[in-house]
Amino acid sequence: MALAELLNNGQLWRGSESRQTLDIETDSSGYNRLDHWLPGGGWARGQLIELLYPAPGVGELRLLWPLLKRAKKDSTSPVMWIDPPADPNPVALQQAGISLAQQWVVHSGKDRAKALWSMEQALSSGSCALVLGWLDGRLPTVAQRRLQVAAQNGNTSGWLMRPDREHLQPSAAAYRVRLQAEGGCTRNMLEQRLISHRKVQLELQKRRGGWPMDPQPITLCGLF
Amino acid sequence: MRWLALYFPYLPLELDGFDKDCPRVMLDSRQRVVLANTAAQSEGIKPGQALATAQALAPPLSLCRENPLQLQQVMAQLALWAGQFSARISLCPPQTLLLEIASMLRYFKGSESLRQQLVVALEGQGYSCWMAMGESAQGALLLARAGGCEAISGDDYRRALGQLRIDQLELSSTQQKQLTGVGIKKLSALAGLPRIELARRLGPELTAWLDRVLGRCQQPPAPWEPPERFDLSLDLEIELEHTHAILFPLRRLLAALEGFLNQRQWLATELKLRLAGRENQQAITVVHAQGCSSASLWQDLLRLRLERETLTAPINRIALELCHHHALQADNRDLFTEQREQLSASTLISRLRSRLGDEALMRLDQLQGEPLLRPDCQPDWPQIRPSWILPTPKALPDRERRQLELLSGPERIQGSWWQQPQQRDYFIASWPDGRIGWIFRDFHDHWYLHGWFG
Repeated sequence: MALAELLNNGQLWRGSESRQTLDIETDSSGYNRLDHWLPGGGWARGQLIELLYPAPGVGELRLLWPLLKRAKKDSTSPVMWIDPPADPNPVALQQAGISLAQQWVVHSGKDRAKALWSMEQALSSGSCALVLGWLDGRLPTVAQRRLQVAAQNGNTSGWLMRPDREHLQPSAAAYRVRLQAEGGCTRNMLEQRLISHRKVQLELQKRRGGWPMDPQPITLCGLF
Repeated sequence: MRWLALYFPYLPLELDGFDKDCPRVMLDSRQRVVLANTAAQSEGIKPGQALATAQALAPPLSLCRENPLQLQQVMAQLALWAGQFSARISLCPPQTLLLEIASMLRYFKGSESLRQQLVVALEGQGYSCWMAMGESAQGALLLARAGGCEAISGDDYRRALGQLRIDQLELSSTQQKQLTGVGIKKLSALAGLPRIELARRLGPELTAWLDRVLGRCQQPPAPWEPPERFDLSLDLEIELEHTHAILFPLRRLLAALEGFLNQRQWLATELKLRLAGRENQQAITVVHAQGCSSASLWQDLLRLRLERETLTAPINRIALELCHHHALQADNRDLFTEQREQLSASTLISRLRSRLGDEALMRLDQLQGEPLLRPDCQPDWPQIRPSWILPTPKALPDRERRQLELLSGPERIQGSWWQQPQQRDYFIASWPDGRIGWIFRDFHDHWYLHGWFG
C-alpha cells in the first residue's frame, strides 16, 4: 500500500496537521462542532467507539440521538441495545423521532460472555444500523479487539458504553470519547429552556487521524 | 433417461452416525462377523471370522447387531435428503438409492459437478457410498454395488459394465452355475452371445434381464413417494448424556429436512426437536422469522439452543419435526446492488434468540407495560420524559434528595398503576454532578427516583 493511500484513509497521519478530509466513509455525528473535531467530518463507519461516562443521566443517549434518528431511513436494519443499564423509554424515544420498531433490547442475563458474544454477532452480521453495548467492569483487550474486528468486518458502527473509571485502561477501539456533565443546572435555566441546550464536556481521548483532544464544551440536543 | 445409483455398503454400521474411522463390525446370531467397515478391514477383519478373532485383530472394536427397522428409517431419511438432487427417487433394497438425473444435469452444471456435490454432502453426514451413473437403471445399480464406477456414459460406461463378473450380476445361483459351467466369466461375454440361443438354453427371463441391464429396454423401478409431513426420528445405539453429542446425528436429520424443503420449494420457520430416553422426553423449539431451508443454518440455531439445554436423563432417540413453513418467494433482489450484508437481520435475531432465549430479546414497540411507557397512551401536549426508566422506582434517601435542584414540576400523574390507585408528583431534578433525573413524591411524602435523562 502506498504511503499516500495510508495517509488518505487515515491509517497514517502527520503529527503536524490534523486532516479534515479523509478518504473514508464517515457518518456525521449530527453535531457540527463534533464533526469539526472528527477528521473526515464524522465517525468513521465500521469502527468501535468507546464512550466513557460517569453514570446514566449525563447525556450519553442524547449524544446518540442524531445517529438513532438517521437509522430510521432504512427501517429494516435493527439497532441493538445490549444490556442497557435501565429500560429505554419508548415515549421519550418516540418524542425524539426515533423509530421504535427498529430498536431491539437484548438482555444477556448479566452474563459477560453472552453479552460479548451478542455484540460480536450483531456487529459482524452487517445487518444492524447501530450496535450499542453496555459492558461494565474490566474488559480484556482481546475482547475489545475482537469487537473492533467484528465492527470492521460487518462495516457496522459499534458503541461500547463504559463507566468513566475505566479511562486509564488501554483501549482497542478506534475512538474513545469521555463525557462529563458540566456542573449542576438551576431552575432558572430550565425555565429559559436552556436545559434543552445543555452543555457537556466532551473529550476525545482517541480519534481516527488526529491527536487526542482535551475536554471541550459541546451543546447536546434537548431533553425531548 | 440417465440414472445415478448410490449404494451404501456399510450402512448397517453407520446407522447412528458415529465416527466411521473407528473399526466396527456387525455380528450375526452365532457371534460371527457378517460386515466389517473399511477401518476394520484394514486391520485384517473379514466377514465370517469369529468375534474372538476380530477382537484380537483390532482391540478397540465396536460391535453392532442387525437392525432392519432402523435401516429402513435411515434409507427413508436418505431418500428425503436426495430430494434436492432429483425429483424421481427409488429405493432399491438392499441399501441403494436410484436417482433419475437427466433432467437435473443442467441445473447441477454437469455430471461431474453433481457427483462432487454428492460426495461432499455424504461425507459431511458420515456415510460411505459407492456411486455409479448409467444409461439404464439396472446397469447403474450393478455398477454401484460392484464398488462404484467413475465412467459417465459412452464407451467407458459400456466397457465398465462389460467388465462385471458373473458373481457381481445378482443372478440366481442356478443361473450363475449354468453360466460359469459354459465358461462365461464376464457380462461382456454374455452380451456377445446370440439372443435366441441364450433364451432357449437359459430361459427368457435372462434375456429380458440382460435387455434391462444393457438399456435395450427401459423398465424404471417404481418411484418413492415422499411423506406429506416432515417428522423423522432416529434411534441411537448409544445413550447420549450431553447435548453437544446430539449434533452429529442431528446433522443427518437436517440434511433430510433440507432435501424435503428444497423439493417442495418451502422455507421452514419453526422446527421442533424431541429428545427421548427410556422414560423421559424433552422438546425444544427453534424459530426463524424469515424462514430458511439451509441445513447448516438450522444446525447453527439448534446448536446455540442446545447449549442452553441440559438433559434431564440420557436419551437414545431424537426426532425432528417441521412445525411451520411457508412457500419460497421468488428472489427478486437487484443483481447490481452491492451485497454487503453477510447475515440477514432476521437470521441474526434468530441466532440471538436461540442462544439467549426468546424472552431475552424485545422490540421496543412491542412493550406491553404500564400506560406511562406506551406512546399510544400519552396525552396530546408534549411532556418531557426521561430516556431511561428504572424497572422499579428506587427510594431516594433524604440526604441525597436535599442536594438536588428541582428543575421542573410538579407534574401530577394519577392512574391505576399495577391495579392500585396511585398519585405521584413528578419533578425533573439536577444532581450536583450535573446528571438529570426524574423523581417523584408519593402520597405518603416519600421520594423515589424513577428515571434518568440519558
